[in-house]
Amino acid sequence: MTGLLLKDLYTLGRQMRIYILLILIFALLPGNTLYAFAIMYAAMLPYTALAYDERSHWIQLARMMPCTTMQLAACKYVLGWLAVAVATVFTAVGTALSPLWGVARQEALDHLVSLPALIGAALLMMAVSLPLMFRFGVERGRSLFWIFLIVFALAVPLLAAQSSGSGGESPVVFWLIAAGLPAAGILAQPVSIALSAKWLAASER
Amino acid sequence: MNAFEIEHVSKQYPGFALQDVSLTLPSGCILGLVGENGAGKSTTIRLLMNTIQRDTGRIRVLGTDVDSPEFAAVKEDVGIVLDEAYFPEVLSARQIGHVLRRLYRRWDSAVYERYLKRFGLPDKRPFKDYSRGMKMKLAIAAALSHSPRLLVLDEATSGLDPIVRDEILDLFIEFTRQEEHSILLSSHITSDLEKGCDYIAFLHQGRLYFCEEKDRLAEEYGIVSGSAAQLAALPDGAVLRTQAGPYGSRALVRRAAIGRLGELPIEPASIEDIMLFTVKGVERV
Repeated sequence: MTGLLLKDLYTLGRQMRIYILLILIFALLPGNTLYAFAIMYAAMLPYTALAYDERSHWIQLARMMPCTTMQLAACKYVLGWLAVAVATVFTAVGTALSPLWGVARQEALDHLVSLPALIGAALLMMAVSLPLMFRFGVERGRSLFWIFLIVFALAVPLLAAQSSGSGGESPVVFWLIAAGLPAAGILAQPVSIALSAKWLAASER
Repeated sequence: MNAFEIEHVSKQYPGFALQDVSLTLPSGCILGLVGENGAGKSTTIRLLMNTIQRDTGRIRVLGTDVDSPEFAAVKEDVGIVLDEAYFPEVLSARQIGHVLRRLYRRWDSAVYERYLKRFGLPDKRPFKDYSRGMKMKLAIAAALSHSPRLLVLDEATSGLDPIVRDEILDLFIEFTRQEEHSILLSSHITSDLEKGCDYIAFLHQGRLYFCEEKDRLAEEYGIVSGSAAQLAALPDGAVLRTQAGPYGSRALVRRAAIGRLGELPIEPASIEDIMLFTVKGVERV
């Protein structure tokens, strides 16, 4: 598994510098919802790694090496988790510091409170799209990603409105999103990995 | 022990079928799998490594059934070289070494470095910037650096210049000097197979036409050229297939059955001759 992960990190070397720069910009820009995209954007790294694999036919070779389809699939999730973790740290630090450059403290606090839901959404996005990419290829999988992103882009303002309009007493919908998304995202991971491994094994059969 | 045994294996795809293939490679030998593009060579290799599901039959590699959980460990003993090498394009030889060191338990970095030097491969250049010859050499270096017992090479020599091919074939012969080392070499370049192989298997349109010892092929078969009348006079059972050309006819004959021919000489039959007669020749009635 570490070998597969190292391969992805080497492959994404140049892209990662751009990703980190974009994530930093998204995370540190004050007074908007772009911080949310820093985390979602990080969850896209596995797609790029998978696209590289597809282009070089690496999976075909790797399946003849001593690694299982489960490891080949899980590796992409681990890469996504690491990227989301890094983006979350940047975003959390950027948001915590944002009152220094004029963002209202309540707004910064709202952004921090929404981070678990964003992580959940990123994990859910990976859980939904990665199995499809393993089964049908990255291009077709990406189409689904864009549908997910549009739905997410519509949901973020709603989440922000619910969060900022909640005052001292949060409505049920807010807690459903705040607690439900992370829970769903985490619970979906093992199921999604198993499905990815199964579909990866079936993809060349 | 056999390096692998393929027994009555079939695989059906839309528009192509590998039909009832049985092949055995004894340890310490090189088996050349020959056939035109699309004959089923790569499919056979994928079945051997269990990356595609066969419809019928049984496959054992280094004594282990490929369907058993133990086969994952057996892959440590198999060095793989595929026709386009398939390493990630942006990785350098050094980075590929770092990755493979973590995938193969018996990976030997010193051996890998030695092969890189022997082949004159730059270790920092991205894989995509290598020539085809360099790519294949890198794949062979990687395949040999984890102490494999079986090398599986899919069209590893095609597209290479004759000097590089010769160098690589010498390396394969060197590898099989150890008794437990074996090679499956798929190619459509018959001269490569003639140089190093102990056994030749011929696949055509998904069917295995023969799998014979190379020396036995040379002993058993010959080519006789002459007029149609001269070939018609050859003894029954000696002529396997005939080909008519503008300047006369040729026949693939079984040397043992033909006896003395008078003025008609029997020329040696190359693997290519046997293949072409098998595919294009006409059976004598």
